[in-house]
Amino acid sequence: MTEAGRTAAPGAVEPVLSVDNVQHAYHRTVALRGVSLAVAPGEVVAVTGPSGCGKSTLLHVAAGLLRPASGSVRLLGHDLGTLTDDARARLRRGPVSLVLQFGQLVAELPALDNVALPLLLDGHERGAARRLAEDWLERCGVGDVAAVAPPELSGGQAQRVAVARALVTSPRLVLADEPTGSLDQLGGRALLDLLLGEARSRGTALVLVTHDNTVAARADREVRLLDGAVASEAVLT
Amino acid sequence: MSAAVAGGAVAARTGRAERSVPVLRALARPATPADRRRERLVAAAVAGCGVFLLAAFAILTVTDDVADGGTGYGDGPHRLAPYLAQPGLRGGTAFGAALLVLPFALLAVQALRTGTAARERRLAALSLAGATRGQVRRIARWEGTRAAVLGGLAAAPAALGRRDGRPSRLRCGAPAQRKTGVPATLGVNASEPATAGRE
Repeated sequence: MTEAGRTAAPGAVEPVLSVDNVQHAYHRTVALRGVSLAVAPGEVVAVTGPSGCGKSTLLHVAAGLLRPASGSVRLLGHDLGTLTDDARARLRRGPVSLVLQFGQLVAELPALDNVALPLLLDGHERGAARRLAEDWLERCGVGDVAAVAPPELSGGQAQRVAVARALVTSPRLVLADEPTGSLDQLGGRALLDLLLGEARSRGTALVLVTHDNTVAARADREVRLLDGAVASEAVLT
Repeated sequence: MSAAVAGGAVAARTGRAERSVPVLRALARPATPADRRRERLVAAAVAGCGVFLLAAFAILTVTDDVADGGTGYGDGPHRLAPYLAQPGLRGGTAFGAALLVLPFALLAVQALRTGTAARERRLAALSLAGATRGQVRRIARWEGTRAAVLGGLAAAPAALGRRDGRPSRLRCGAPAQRKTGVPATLGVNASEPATAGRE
């Protein structure tokens, strides 16, 4: 574990995400070798590095989608190692949200229901959930595609819907894996503006996994991975 | 935490879980034309399985007084085909009817398998959106149950249906039914396409 990896986020407040000495392997391929990372409330952290360096694995471990072979992950004060699968799923439909490269929307549901889905799964009243989802679709500039199913959306529209779904629950932490990876430069910049704008205005912490330096440059801090370990860390703003 | 507060939290969680049921049911419904075709195919295959299982069961429950048309002499105008009328042949006939379940079962399995990739993608997307394992399992279970129920409902009229309209002692209210019970009557009726014309 590097000193850079141990560096805590600024301030004395408890980090929303704390990854400590995490190791993970896919069969014989080691993806993470003792990675540590802390993210403070409202902080925007870019995780960069070349393809295959473990960025996405780190994000999946942080989201509780993967159980690390060793090390610990604390998410909003919860030790993920002690939580059941269901408890981790409940975190993902509440205070923690995910945005993945291709949106990962449910193809069978229209955009509006996709955005309302975390609320509906959490048992919110259908009408209220849909009204909130409509509001977020409008805010993300895709209010006109509320009734359209994801396969009929463009890449940019689908990503905006995914961002709306990530923000509809007013999360404290958004984990985004290459959110602009499938978009052209202009579309990518617009989506990043939207994501960063909403995150900063609401004090939501954001972890951005990207291999794009222009995206990383807009974060507060950049953590660079190499061969599954933290190679460097830099405060950008 | 006091017991009252804990009880309230549990009640709130239970209430929320109940409110999520309609959306889970909606997610279990086929949404695309391909899903609808797949569900219909599975339902048809289940119906086929049901009809032939019912037929096999009915053949096994045929009694001699049913086989001779209820006349007691074995030469009534509505007697069954020889391989149903003769007790020694009924086992083999029932086995043959049961074997006919296999192609329908294979059809159902293959129809379900064609949707596996799409289903797994959808369930993964739901999991990312925060669906718990229990919710994902419930959606998958409802999908299967829907097709099975539709198939079962389709099998019932197929078993009940009369093909040639001729009078039969196996109809409701006939003496044979009173002796063999409704399931056997339904099954014998279902098996009648195979036996008709062989008298």
